[in-house]
Amino acid sequence: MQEQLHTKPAPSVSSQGVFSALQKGLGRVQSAPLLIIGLTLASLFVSLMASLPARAVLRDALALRPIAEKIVRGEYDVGFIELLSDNPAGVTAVSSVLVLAIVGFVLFQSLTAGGVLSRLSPTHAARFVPPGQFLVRCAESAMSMLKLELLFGLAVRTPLLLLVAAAAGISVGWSRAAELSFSTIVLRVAPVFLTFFVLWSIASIWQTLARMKRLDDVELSAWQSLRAGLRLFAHRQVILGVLLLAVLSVTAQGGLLIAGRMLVIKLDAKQLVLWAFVLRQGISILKTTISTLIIATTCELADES
Amino acid sequence: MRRSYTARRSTLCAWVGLGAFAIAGSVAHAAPSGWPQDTVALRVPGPLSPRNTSYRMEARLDEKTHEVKGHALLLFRNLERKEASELTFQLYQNAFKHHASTFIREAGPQLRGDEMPEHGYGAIDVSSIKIGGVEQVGKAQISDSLLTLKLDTPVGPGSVIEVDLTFVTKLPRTFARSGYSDDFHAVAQWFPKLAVFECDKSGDRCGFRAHQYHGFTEFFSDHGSYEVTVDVPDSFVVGATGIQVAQQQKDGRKQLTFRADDVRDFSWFADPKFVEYKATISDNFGPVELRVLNRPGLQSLDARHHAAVQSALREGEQRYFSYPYKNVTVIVPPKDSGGAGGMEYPTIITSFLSPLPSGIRTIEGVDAHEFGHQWVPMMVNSDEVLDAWLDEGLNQYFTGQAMDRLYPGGCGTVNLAGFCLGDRDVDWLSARSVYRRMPLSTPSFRLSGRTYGAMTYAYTAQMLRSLENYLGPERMRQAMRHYAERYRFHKPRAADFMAAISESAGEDLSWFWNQAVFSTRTADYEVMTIENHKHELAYGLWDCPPKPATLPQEIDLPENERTEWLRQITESNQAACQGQPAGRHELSPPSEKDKKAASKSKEPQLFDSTLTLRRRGELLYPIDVVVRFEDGSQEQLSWSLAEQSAHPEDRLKIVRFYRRAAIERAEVDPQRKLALDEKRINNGLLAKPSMRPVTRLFLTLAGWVQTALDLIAL
Ligand SMILES: [Zn+2]
Repeated sequence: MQEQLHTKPAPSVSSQGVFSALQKGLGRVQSAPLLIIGLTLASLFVSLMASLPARAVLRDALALRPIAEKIVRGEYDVGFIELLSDNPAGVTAVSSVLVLAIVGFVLFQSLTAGGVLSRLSPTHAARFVPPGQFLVRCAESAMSMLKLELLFGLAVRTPLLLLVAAAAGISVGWSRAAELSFSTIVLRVAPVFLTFFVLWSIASIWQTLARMKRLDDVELSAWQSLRAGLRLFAHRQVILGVLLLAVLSVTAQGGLLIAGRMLVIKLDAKQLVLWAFVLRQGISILKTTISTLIIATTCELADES
Repeated sequence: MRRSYTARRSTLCAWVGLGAFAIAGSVAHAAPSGWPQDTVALRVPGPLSPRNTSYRMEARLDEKTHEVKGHALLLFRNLERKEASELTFQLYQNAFKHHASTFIREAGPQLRGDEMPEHGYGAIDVSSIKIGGVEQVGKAQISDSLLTLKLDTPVGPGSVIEVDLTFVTKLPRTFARSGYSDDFHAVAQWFPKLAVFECDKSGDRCGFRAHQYHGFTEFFSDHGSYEVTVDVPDSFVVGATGIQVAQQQKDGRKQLTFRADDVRDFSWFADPKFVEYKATISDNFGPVELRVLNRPGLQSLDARHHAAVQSALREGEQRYFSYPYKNVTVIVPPKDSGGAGGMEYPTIITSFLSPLPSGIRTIEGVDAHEFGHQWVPMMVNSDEVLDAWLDEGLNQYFTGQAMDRLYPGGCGTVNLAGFCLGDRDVDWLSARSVYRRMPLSTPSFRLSGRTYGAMTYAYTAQMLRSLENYLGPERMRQAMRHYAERYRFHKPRAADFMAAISESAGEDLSWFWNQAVFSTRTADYEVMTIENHKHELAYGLWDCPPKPATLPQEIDLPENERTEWLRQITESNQAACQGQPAGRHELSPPSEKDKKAASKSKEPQLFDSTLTLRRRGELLYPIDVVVRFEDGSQEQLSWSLAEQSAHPEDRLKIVRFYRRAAIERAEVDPQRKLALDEKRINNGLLAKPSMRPVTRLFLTLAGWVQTALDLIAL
């Protein structure tokens, strides 16, 4: 695949199309299996670490209690509520660690973003790094990526979240006043949330573009990178590609989430918790693959335009 | 019971005839349809009640001003042996007249979290009270929601008085069970309602048992026959207590006449937007017509209302007695009138709108609960002010049974995405949140809102479940039925309930009532510790030749284990003396190395085990205990009431075992008979920790976290 890229003359943007970019992106992702596994392991590691305090609380509360088996088997769900209401300190400790873990993971993602992006860029791009240089690139770009992340969080993610919170508030208020059944509410509210997810995904792509610009030109400030990333949207090909990629991302991730939940519930019901956990890792690898595919394709689109 | 009931019915007929005569002689409007003596609204032979407080009314709804202009003819018969020298009426809507009312001072301008709307005041103004054609209104004394009128001529024992009342009821904006929003009108607590005249047990002290409309309590009144004509705009759909017996139309308005027999109240609801659903529920006594007046667009939920009412009807007839009325109506108030939802009136109940998925069974729970009230307190006429737990609590207990009938899996409250919560679970969580506050016997108006709700409903239900598990389901069912049958259309107090249950159970239950009703004692039993020690009896100084072993009385062991103990000591002594000359010999424990070898050998170990049970709460209840040993054998013990009562200050029960297997686990109250138990997780204990469930929960949680992290990358 990479071979092909070098030998074939780059076709013009207009004829190439998004699907060709996607194909090339897939090639990039396939050539970086260690990256996918590394990112998946990182999320696994963070989730296990974040859950350790909960394990300690659970051990103190349940290890000597025969009812724990029933709680785990789903035969005594009110036990969860008793557990939570009788261990308020544990619940506070566990939830704060979980929040910290999520914040930490976002930081980790931004710190490694430079390396990931360089690794997934076309080999002819200046920012491309071979696997051996991955960590070096991460370290070089960490600070600038972090600044970009903070600015992006403030300028784009926060307004988006506020927007969806307002939309949710309005739809809840409206459905309370409108006397609707649950199914009608779901049908009417679903498009709002779908739109939000697509917008969120577009924002992620925009962030990738901004990161690219920053990696290409170390003189750019976070704010300039953001604007440069946005300017790329002016290309018809890019905007079309971004839209398609966002829809693809939401559909694939959503589909995986739903399919994964259904499978996990089935395995849980059969008490195959360990298998459910293994399945989760498979799903996680697929999810990481999709995320990296979106990044690689974005690079292709932007570099060609 | 049956005999006294028949006797009362024959006296009823006599007075009912008298009442009818009086009306014919004094009232100007058209001859009534047999009111108040016939039984058109019943599907069983009647009358069922003394009907000593009957009303014939006309009510005109002004849909613009939200006022009801009413006229009532009240027939009151004094059933007591002393005369009534005054009459007391409840003017419930005056509770919403201003912020100085008893209701608002107690509850604040809110109820169940529902705020009283601005400019939403309500009131009842009585403009005329005529007795024998003579105006009396000038003599009436009004205090908040009570009106008292001194009578020129007292009502003698057995006598009937006729009172003509003219009044205007200004409905509040929907709040605390009644009111209006747009065209929806919940016309409840709307007419001057005679309080209950009674004498104490000695018969010396007589008067009206009347209470202000309190913040957290409901109502109380005598039974009667009602004939009510409501006048509404043509487009309005009306649901009311009783059955419709006549309809007229003129000038864009219609007049609907309803009859209700042997009921203690009358309420009606009007809204042009109601969408009607009709069905018939049949039981052994014939059909009951069900009518749901729902909101537009929510017809898919009619079937759920239907199923809930049907389940509650069948359960009620099995638990109490037959539902005697011909119909039942379910009102679904609009969203902005939620304050009128979740309420019960004779033959008509109000439900709630639920935007939640059907796995959250709010609609069914509310409907089953409100329909259950048709028995308590609508027919078994307890006082909702003084003994709120007799209606709300008994009915909450009943709601669980009706929901079990509808959803036998025990997930009557929530069954969503694999998560299951039953009525018992929810009541337990709610009840334990109000432990150590006030005894259940406290009149509700002395409680705060939060305590009132959980105590009156959930605590009572859990208390009755604890009693049911003590008596057994069949004895409890019979006892509840005994109470209901004895007091149907009578006015029981809490003491009557407790006495009826004890009487039917054939057992003095005062130990239970004293703790659960009259005290704040809480219940919590736990397995505190399990200690297993390997048998060390063989070591020590032994005198040879062996002598017969003895066991000191202070070593407390069950009989079979005493035998085992003695056998072991004898064996140890014999082993120590084997091949030894007479005299004293020492048998020492093996070295660490030998010990390891011994533990690998298949020789069964002997264990000296101690199980310590603890009563953490103050409430005493007979407790079953199951002890499981590592060899799979099981031992059932009990910590009896007698044992606990003998030393009520002792909190521990220590049980020793001497067996070939160590204790693996122990559990107190394994069947969860003590529904009032404050903590359940501590009921069982393992001798050794088991990390399996902990690891499983840990992995599940880690999986959720990972899903969340994956989503961030979207
Ligand atoms: Zn109730």
